[in-house]
Amino acid sequence: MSANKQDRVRAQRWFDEFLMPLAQAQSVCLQRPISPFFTSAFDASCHEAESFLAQWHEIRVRQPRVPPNLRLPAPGAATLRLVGAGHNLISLTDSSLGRMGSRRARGVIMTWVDELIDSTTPPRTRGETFTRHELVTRLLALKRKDTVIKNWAYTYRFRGRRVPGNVTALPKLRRVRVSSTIRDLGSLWTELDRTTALELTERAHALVVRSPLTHLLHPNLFPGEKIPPFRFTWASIAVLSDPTMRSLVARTLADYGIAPLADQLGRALESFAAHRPSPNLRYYLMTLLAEMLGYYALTVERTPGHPWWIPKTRHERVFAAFLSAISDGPDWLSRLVELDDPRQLIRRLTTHLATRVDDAAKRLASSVVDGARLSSGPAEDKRENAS
Amino acid sequence: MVKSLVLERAILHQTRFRTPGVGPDARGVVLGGRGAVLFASLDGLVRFLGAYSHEESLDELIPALEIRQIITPLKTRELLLLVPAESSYRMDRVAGHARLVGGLVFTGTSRHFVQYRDWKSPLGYDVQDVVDTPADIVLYSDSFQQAYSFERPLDLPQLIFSLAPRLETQPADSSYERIWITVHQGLRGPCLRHLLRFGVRARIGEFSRSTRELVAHESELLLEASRVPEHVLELFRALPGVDVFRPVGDNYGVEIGYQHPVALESCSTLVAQDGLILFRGGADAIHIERKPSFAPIQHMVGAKQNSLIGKVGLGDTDGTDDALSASFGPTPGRSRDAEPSVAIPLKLTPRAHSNQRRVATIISFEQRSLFARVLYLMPQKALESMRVVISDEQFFVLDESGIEGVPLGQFYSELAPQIYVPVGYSLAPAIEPSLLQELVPGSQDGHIFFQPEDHDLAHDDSAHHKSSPHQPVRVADDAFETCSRMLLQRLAPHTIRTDAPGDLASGSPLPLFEYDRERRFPLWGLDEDAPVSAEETSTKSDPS
Repeated sequence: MSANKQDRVRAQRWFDEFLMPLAQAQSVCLQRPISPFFTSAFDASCHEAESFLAQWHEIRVRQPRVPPNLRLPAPGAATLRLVGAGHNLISLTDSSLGRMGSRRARGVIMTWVDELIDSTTPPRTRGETFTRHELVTRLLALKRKDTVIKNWAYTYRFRGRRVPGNVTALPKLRRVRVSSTIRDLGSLWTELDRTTALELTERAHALVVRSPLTHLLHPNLFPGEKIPPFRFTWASIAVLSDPTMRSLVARTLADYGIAPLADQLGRALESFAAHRPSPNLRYYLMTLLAEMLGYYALTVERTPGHPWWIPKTRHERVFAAFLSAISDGPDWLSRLVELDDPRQLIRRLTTHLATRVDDAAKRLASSVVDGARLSSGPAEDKRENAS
Repeated sequence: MVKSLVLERAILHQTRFRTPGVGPDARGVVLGGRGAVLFASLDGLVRFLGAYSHEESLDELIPALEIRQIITPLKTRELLLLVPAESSYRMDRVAGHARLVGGLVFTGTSRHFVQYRDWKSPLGYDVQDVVDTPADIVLYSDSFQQAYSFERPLDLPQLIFSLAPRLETQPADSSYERIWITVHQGLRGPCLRHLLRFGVRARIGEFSRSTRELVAHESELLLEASRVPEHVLELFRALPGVDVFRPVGDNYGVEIGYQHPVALESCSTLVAQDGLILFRGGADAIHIERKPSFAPIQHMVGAKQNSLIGKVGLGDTDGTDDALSASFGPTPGRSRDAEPSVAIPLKLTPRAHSNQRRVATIISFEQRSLFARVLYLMPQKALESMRVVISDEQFFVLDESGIEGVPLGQFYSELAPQIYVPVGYSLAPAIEPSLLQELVPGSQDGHIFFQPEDHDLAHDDSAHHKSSPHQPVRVADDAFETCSRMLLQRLAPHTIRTDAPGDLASGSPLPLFEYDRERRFPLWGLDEDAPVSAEETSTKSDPS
């Protein structure tokens, strides 16, 4: 078997036993680590295979707030690299890699993870963004089953591996006791980070950042001191230029509630303003804030007794200043066409916030909001057509 | 043991002494850590305490003062007073008074005490030879040296409190600003009414004497009266069962006409801050461990007798008072021309006994977390019967069935319908509830709370002098809501997200992962070459 053929067989197996079950939210079987060079085998042949595309055709977006007929396109090479990096990140939790003779492998695999993540380009279409988001979220939802089997003489531990039948044979005679625990990836990575210098959580965060929709929908996915704070990247604002995805992000963040995210978003907005963004980028971000404010106002309106958020920290005041500045703008709120016109409530809400904002935050917000405009007509239509 | 010459004079700049524990102070005076005054008898010691306390403060010496009975090998007993010798100035004052009453003054630190300086040796003395005798203390004088053993200590407070006051040699000053009066329970009514008749401002409390007996003494009354007319004072002094004391400091009283041998003002630390000791001439002192709670005497008599205020000498008294007048003699009284003030402000004044029901409480915002905890523990019925108003700084809680379930805040009792005063307080002058309702407008559709100016006043006896007109607070009846409705947070259902990453594959079975089979060399056969660049890959293979 030539090397090329070997790679194709490996790639086919990776598709069949890892990628497809992952896309279908089923249990997956990890394969040998994916090197950056090996990913070229994906796009060379396998992902174009008819069987693969036929199966993939059945996969739909599982997000409840996107159009139900949105079909996920097959993952591109960049997404496959990102999923390959995630595959390797999961492989690193294998305790057998910590044995004598195998320890070097961890360092090599880590290098591959970094290279795969670094070489992942941002998604270019709405479909690619959703595909990447679906795969990344399902990858992060994977869990490991650890089984401990005790008989009258021995104790066997199978961490993430299938239990051979002979271990549990003759259970009454050998007094076999089986106990199992389910562990999620976050805890596995955190535990390894404590005992090794692999920094898996930071790499997992970097992986999520390469999926901009996931990053926007879950800004608090990896809390920790070493994790850099949430930032609006060019890729994430590109996602916000799509009305469907922007609406999804705005609803999701509004559902989280303003209070838990205000500090993070205020910090991100301050950083965004410091980079002197173009009017287009400002426009899309401010539109997100306007929609988010609208959904939040609806939540407040529909749940009597819902406490109004009061900014406390400096970054929360910055965020409040942005919300307040948006409501002062001429037509930001007029974009909330699909809402039940909560503008009156928003006025009251932002007036309430404006009294708790200092002048510095107001100036910062005004400098961004005032310059936010589209340079050449709305681009949403183009984005929708592109998908 | 007696030698004719045992001391030598200390000279200026002498730094080495044979006496252990002494040295020159800044002035060159030989001084040890303590001073000792030797008295031949208890009489001398008492005279010294009396003389010293009248000129200096005994409180300075008391913390480290010791009195010991000492005994010589020949069984001669003497008294030794040990005081701290912080400076030669203090020792000079001690020595001056001690020599006047025949005491011998020494200085030293632990065991050897040498005679303190006198006019013959201005810088003090040093011993020629130190006596090496097993003794508790050795005193070196210019005429003798003597070893002593400690026999027993004498307690200074016990000594001072057991001293009987002696008759005053000078005529007593009959105008006392303030006096203490002890009254037996049987004379309570007549005495109070008599004081009221003459408009004496007095406060009354009840006390029991400190006793070591199992059967306690019957409680007595203690009155604190100010500006008592002279004839009333004479009457009380002459009445059996009544003792009149002039205050000495805050914690002592000496019966009028007597004087304590020691100046009690200079030894105030012997008594607890709120204690009181009353010295009686020819009888034991009265020890009151803690001053009782006082209340104006106006509240201790009935409403009829209260009407006597300001009507002294008009003769409209009941039979009891006539009897008192008969026993006390004629009542000179004030002039009929003295017109009572027309506008009498209502005052909130403490009262000694309060058995009124507590129907309201005012809780400050500082206690709101505690209040919340209490609410969690309360049964449903209690929560329903409790009504609450939240003002800017306080919770007003009202429960006609009793507010004892909320052990917080300042409790109030209902003096008149919907008019409340703090528990332990009353309004003065005492007026009928119906009249009070008429006087306080707005009590028909609101609740009136008379709040003390400071909650601490309730525990501070000195505050009785500070009672002043109080402006009541009115809370509209409509503002009260049941506790359940007012305080409990409204339920705001929180929408649970269903698309969190962990829930994406919420259907069963869980999306598990399994590792590949174990390999001895995990990377064997894999290509570890450099990766293809991202741009190259994406341009080649991106299907979009």
